Amino acid sequence: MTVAAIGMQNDLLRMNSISQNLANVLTPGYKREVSMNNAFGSYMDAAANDGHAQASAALAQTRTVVDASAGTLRQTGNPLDVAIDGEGFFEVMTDNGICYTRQGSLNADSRGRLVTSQGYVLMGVGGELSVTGSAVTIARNGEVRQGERILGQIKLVRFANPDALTPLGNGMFSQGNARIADAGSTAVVRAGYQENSNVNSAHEMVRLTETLRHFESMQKVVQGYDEVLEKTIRKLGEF
Amino acid sequence: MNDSLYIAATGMQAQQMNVDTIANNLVNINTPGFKKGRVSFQDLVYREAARTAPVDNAQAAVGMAHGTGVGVASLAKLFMAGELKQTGVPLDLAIQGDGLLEIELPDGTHAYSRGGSLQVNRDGFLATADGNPIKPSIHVGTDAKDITIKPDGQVLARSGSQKEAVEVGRIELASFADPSGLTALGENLYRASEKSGEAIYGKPGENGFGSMSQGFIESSNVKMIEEMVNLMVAQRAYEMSVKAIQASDEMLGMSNNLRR
Repeated sequence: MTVAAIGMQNDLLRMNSISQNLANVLTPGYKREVSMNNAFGSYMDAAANDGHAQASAALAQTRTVVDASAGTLRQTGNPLDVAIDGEGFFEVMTDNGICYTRQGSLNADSRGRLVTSQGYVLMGVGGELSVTGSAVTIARNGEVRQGERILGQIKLVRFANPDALTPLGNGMFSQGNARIADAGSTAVVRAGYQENSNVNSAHEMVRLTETLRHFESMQKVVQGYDEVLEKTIRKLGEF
Repeated sequence: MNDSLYIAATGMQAQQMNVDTIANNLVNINTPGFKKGRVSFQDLVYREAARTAPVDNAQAAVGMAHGTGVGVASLAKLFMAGELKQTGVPLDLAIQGDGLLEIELPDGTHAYSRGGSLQVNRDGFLATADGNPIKPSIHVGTDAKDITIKPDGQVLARSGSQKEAVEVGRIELASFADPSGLTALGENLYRASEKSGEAIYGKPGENGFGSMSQGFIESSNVKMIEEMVNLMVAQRAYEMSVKAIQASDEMLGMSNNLRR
């Protein structure tokens, strides 16, 4: 009965991440979250070694990880919308230190620095990128040009294990347990494009139905177990 | 209670805002000089999920952050040029390229406009259709005839007694570091904001500023097909959040039914 109850609890947690993904189906640069359970085998091992209490503890650990796969690119025509075609993240300086994002709707702030839509400063290879006036073009290698003048190059960071990044909201990620890969990013920066959310709505709806039905069957297990107990008590009472 | 209900509700709210913006774009499809609005979304802060079990390793601790939904990141105006339409009316003025006209409002503050149907106001100044004068002010006189506006902003006019048109002033344009950060006031007027930065002035046709086109009107930059597609996408995204709410509700119902 405990196992079924924990199964139901995990389904509720999984529902949270499905709702989160569905709500963010149109958020540019959004990376879907996936909840993961430990394999069933590990519960059995835990049960064999340490008894019942440990087994339920192992079951209850639903982890959420970031699915860092790329979303499709959508043309916006705004020269300051940049998307990363390939692996990698932009580096931005926020109030809480350096963060990483794939959301590249840039604009120039009142001091002329290139900032993200939340006002965080985008980092170039050599520090902040300052522009004056409006006619700025961004090349495929991340070079920011104003006319013939090169103002700097956008810095891209690639992670060896991007799924370990910790999401902070606003499309930002902090490094968490992720390691920066030694080799630089080979990705291409595309100006005039925005990256769509990598949520696949059909996939999420299937997961939604699946979770709902799993929940239902767990509920039936609890009910069935309840019935067995009820019958047992009645039979025993007849003696 | 179940978080997924509230998360999905933020999804519905955000898409509602998206549909509102698309509706505003669609009704202004024939408004001269109108610039379309576009909503941008962002995921809301993540928080640590309530722990149902003691954490025995660091790996588990990392993967416990749950999202809390979606919010509106910005509602920006997109300043892409609309098509120029010839009207032949001498005081219809459009800007071909970047730049905005500076307008003085009755309360003394300044606003910016993409042009439109101008007029000569009571005091003889060149003004917008609402009578707000253009800055720097250009006095053409109340009896002016044959007003000519050159592509470089030079304004020529001939008053009743004169034989030849003379230069009465020169139109200046303003540009912004980030025009999408301008605050829309309605009536095709915009105000500088902290996000847009201060106005940078220049002469039409120079340093990336657009040139003046007399007798033309800039049409709205709303593209109907694009808006219709966005509307459909927004509607479906709304629907998905509704489904998530329905499913969460069913699950809650089921757990209530555990006790028969």
